[in-house]
Amino acid sequence: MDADIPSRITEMIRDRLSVDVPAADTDLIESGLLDSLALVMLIAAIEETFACELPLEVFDIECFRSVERIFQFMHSSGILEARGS
Amino acid sequence: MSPIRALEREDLPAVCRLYERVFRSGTADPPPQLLGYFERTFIDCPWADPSIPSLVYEDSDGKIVGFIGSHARRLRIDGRPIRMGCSGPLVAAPEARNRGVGALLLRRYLAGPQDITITDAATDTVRRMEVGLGGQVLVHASIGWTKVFRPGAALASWLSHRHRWPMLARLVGLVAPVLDAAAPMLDSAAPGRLRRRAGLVQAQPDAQAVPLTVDALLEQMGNAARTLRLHPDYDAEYLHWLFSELEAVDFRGVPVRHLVYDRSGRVAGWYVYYLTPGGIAQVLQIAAPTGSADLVLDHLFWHAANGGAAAVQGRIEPALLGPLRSHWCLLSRSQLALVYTEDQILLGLLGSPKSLLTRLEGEWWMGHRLLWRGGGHSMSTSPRQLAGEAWSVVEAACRGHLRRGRRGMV
Repeated sequence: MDADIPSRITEMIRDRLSVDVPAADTDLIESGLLDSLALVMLIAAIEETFACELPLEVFDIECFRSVERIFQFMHSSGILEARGS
Repeated sequence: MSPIRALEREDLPAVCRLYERVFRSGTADPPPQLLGYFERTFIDCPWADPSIPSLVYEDSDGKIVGFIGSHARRLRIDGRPIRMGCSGPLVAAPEARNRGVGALLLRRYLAGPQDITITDAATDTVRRMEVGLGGQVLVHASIGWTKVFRPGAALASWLSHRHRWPMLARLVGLVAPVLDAAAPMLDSAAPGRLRRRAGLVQAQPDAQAVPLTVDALLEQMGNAARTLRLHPDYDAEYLHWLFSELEAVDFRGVPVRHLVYDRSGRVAGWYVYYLTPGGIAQVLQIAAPTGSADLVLDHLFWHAANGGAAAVQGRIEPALLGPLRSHWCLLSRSQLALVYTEDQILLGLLGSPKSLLTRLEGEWWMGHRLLWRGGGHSMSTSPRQLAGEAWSVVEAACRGHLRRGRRGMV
């Protein structure tokens, strides 16, 4: 369930962005793996994969800095609960 | 609080500074006229729609670091009014790009209440973003066509706009008059039937034209609605604004609007284009709802060639593909046109000859990027000056035709 989500996010980034993330806490921005274009692809991929709409009205790129942070963002914004994960 | 909000009039100085820095001179000191231009095109356009606004992105200090322009347009599909958003330009401060500012602005804009979003001057980066967000390339509208009258001048003009081979451009510019003087001889070697539409020299068309006024376009669009399933829903106030703004973008040339009649006095269609004497004229709209596009093209090419244009360029519209073939136009890549809509019927109609959605409805022709650069025209001689000289030639050429035709026609 929830514990699988980080690995699903890692797989999704590999499949959709062709980016291999070494670890869940790798800084995707600092390491240059995620730029503006990749970010929008990532947002679209998350929404499609998890059948949700991310609440980006209060968007903070810090939420997308690593797989861990993405997971925390999804968790704190209630997306995972709404899906029943 | 969201960092993205609707553009307000008070934001324009900051937006212009950002735009000047990123897309124009590289300084944060825009020419004073630019602010007025942004105001007219993004705030005071008669069709500006508060629910489809231009957007700005503010950083945590309240500084504007991103902007996406919105041009709201009104269309009708099968008689039903719909709204279109034309996005552009999209600009993000270099220091904010790694925060996804551009991507987030585009995403928010695409999620607006409009039925369809287009852009007709997209960069490859915007294409990748928009496709990533569910948009797609409008293939036919991303392919350009060119009709050449003066090969030497056309090549020189093309090279000079590329800024890559200045020496070559100058060299071609020197030999262009000789090459172009020989063109009619080459033309005369072709068989007569081929020469009529394939040739470099444009024959007197079997058609006549009068200026396309606001009232005439409204009337013609009303008639066209009987055959077109998708078309602009013009009104007089918007067209007055549009025609006035076409005039303002003087570096493109002189805007020409003509309503074309066939020999029997029936309306064949109309065209709107920028005449650029000595350069490449640019078409904004060609319409021939009754199927007489060949005749409309005949008149357009004859008018442009006699007005001194080296070539005419446009983009492929579904209804024009056949007539462009018969006129032996060259195809090439053009500015990228993108579309985003969840309405599959609308999406399908965009590729149909039953639709009329042209550059005139987009933002490609606008002057945000090139007006008032270097304090004047981008060309050493104003296209308007050149057009004035060329026009006297057209008038002289038309005089005999005018005597035979109806008053005021060219």
